Amino acid sequence: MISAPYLEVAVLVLGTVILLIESFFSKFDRRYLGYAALVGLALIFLATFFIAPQSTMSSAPFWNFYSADATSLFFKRIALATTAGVIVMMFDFAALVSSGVQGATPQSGLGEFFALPLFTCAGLMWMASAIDFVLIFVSLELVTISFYVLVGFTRRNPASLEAAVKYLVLSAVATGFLVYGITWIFGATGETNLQKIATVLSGTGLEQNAALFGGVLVIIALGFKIAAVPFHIWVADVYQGAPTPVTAYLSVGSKAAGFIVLLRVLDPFLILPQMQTLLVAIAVLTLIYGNLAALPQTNVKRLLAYSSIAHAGYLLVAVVSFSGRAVAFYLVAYLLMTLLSFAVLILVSQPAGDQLESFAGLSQRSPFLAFAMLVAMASLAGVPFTAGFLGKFLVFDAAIATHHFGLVVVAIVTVGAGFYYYFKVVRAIYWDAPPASTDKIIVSPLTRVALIALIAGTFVLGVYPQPIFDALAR
Amino acid sequence: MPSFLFWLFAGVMLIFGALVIINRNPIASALSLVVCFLGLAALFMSLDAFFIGIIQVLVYAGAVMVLFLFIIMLLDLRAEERRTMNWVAFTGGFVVAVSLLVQILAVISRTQMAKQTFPPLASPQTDDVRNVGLLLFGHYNLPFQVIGVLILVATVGVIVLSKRQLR
Amino acid sequence: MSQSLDQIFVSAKQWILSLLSGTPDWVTTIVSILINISALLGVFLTIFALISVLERKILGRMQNRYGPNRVGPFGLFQPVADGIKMLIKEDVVPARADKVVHFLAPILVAATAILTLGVIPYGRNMTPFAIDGGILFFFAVGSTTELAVFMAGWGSNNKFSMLGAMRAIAQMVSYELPLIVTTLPVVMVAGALSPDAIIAAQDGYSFGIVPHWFVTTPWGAAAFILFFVSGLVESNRTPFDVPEGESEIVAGHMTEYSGFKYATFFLAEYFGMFAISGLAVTLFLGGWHAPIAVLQFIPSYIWFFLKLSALLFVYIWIRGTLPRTRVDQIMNFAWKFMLPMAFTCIIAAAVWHYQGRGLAGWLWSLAVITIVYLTLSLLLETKKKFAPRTYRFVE
Repeated sequence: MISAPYLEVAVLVLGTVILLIESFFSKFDRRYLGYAALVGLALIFLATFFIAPQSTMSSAPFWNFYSADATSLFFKRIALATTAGVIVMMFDFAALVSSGVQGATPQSGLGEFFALPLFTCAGLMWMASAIDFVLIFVSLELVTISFYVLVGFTRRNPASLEAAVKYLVLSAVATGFLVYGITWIFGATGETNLQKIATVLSGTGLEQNAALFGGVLVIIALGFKIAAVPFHIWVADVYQGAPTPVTAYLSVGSKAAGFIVLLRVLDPFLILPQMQTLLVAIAVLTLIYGNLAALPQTNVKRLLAYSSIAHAGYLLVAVVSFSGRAVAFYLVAYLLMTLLSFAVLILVSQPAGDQLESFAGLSQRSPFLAFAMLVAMASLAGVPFTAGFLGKFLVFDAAIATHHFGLVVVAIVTVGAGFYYYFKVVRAIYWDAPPASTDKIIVSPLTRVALIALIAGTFVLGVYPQPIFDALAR
Repeated sequence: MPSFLFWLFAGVMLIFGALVIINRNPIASALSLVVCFLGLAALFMSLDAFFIGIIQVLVYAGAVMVLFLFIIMLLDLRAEERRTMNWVAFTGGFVVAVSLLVQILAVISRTQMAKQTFPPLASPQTDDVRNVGLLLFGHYNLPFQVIGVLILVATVGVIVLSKRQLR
Repeated sequence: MSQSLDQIFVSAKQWILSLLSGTPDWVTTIVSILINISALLGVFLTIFALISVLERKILGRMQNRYGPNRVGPFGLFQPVADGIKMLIKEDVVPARADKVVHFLAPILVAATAILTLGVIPYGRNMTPFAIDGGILFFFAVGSTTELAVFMAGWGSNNKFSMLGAMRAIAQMVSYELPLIVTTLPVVMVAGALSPDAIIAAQDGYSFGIVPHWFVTTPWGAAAFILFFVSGLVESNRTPFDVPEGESEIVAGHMTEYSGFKYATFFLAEYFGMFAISGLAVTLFLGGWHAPIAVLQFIPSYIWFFLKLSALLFVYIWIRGTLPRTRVDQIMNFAWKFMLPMAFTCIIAAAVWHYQGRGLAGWLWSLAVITIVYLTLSLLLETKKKFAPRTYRFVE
């Protein structure tokens, strides 16, 4: 049995070792570092199944900040799996990392490219366990700062640089809101620990206005992280400009961690009725905006960015309905289909770019990739027997159970809109005529295995979701 | 600390804080920010938090702002001064800022805690350096360690982004 | 007798204050502060005048010439002549300068230098401003010098000033780290941030002849050398005076200053040197303690100023001996050698402490420092560092 905090330590050690090897040895293929990271992450993922329950642990101040309950373990696994998926994508992206750099070799900068996601992963795992605003803030910053670097990693590319600057400026503003909100909550309740805040909030003689104000400020900051409307302005440009594996990481990892924090933070606050109204409003806005704005997109990366906003809307519906189970399942489904679509996007876009046209006739150039993209799009849209459908079903079920009928109507209408733009991609793949050059796209064995695993996961969870519920209920 | 000193330093902070955003010249803004930090340090000291106050000067006024200025030195200073005002953006920003201010004032005016008068500070019995150290390395040890990782990542990131040639 | 001689200045101040016994408290407080300030300024302005002429004379001796010997006996009134010259010179301000910043820079630089002098104990019970975090205060105020240098460089609106300011700030920021890190072992061992407590921790003698100064331990000696070198950089002294390399950038950030403003910079530079040396004496050389037990009858402040003069002499000596280093050498030295060694000092001090502060600890900490020093020398390939420079921007 392993104590839960060692998981993050293991990830950190892995990252540090890779960094050290990168800097002290020069004559070897940097891809081995990526393989090492993958193997390490897989081992740590296995280790999460042998975690000692929290009750046997000591009551040191440590446990005021850190929780090792089933939910946090579940989200740690999401973080580990996402990171592993992103690193697999990075192998395919590696050729682009140093493009445009004077005097660069194919190996240039790869060491850091493989090592930084590990630190992000540690931050995400800490966020999953954080039950104190201090740790939430610090680990959120760890994640954000490593994302600044990753987003701007291909800095010779003006789009990447622009994305990094936009992300930096706007997320600094969001951080300001977060800290200011925490200050208000601390001022009103005298606590930073979420459980103690809950106790104070449910008691009498509370300074409700101040606490509520702080809570709203915190929600603004978290809304930025999960890309909810109206805090979404950065999403499209940053997603489009960032290196594609990093975009996938942003849209899955950052979002998942944002949602677990949102769940934990809202836990004490949702007893205040005003908070619910606010969240319903944000959810409706996010659903409508995300789906409608995705309709006219012709750049697949941008389309996926708006789709990511739309999915944040469905997740918010689950949050408003107090359904941690629906949130968790939806996030897993979202992880599978998003990683799948971005992995295909990387391979397809390498010669031709991110535009929709480069997908034209993909079914002839690589039937396997075409099928993978079809599964991803079907699942994102919510076709039955895919994980995406079951996720949406659970969300609507939870919303109906808590009598949010209006929200469900909006959500169902927007799902309809979603079908349109997801199938625009599918149409390009299967019906549009291929461009003049119809070279076959080569898929490396590693990527093939990963894609097959993701496709299988999408189908299995679409019909048999029980393993997820079991993991959550432990 | 006598109350007139509080008003003095609070006033200095507000004036120079405003100057930070009013000045069109980035250097003047940065220097105003330094004065603002010095006022803040003085306010910390008025709360008997000498250590925090001194660290405020050492870290912010001494190190962070110097690096800011160092970077501003390498930029084109005239570009900012030449830039014309975008009135739509200005009005929008102004409305948002004012509504946030109104909100804050409304919340403060309805909060009872803001109205009570606090008893004067008792003179500290223990060394404040020791207290800060004990809290940081004891109760807040975990966040403190995470900050260590954060700084490592920031360092790696800065080097990656600023390397002239990738290795 | 020796006791009263030791405390003669303290008693004098108390006697003055006793004349004011009828007045309210705040009058006494303010007068007490004013006495401290005027004593501080009086003493150090005198030392400044002396050292400015002594430096030229000593350098003259080293370079086989006389140095100033025309004004007064042995040229001792030279500073008076210099002062009058500086005061009556025209004060030129460039037309395109930022007038406010240009004017404030020399004031700020002098003010910070004087403030740092205030926390150093000059003798038993002779600390002008005894505050708990004195060491921190010293560095906090000292770090604002960089701002003043920046203001001078930028406010002058001159390329040479700007380049000089950039060089100065770059090296001051870099060397501030080893400077502060080398004080950490002392603070750790003494368990206090106040200079008085640190001096108290260095009281006592082994066998009556070996003082318990921190410089007598291996980590203390290493830290002292590192501190001293960082101090050289912080006060822009040779061999680290690239910011005012007159052969390249006129006078660095002081290019556009003339007359009394220039003199103020000059004064601040020397005051900064006094302050750093004073702190080095306090931290490592036992402050005002006598070097051997039998000499304790000599008043404490005399010991302090003797040690201070010795350090100042070394400053001048180095100036007369070493050539100027290159900017890239300075930076490499700071980050690749000074900083790791400074951290080693912390570890060595911890080893010394946990081995019981005795002979065993002494040897162990010596071993730690030697090992790290040798490893660093191997790793840094010092031979390569002195190869011809490759120019990146100049073809």
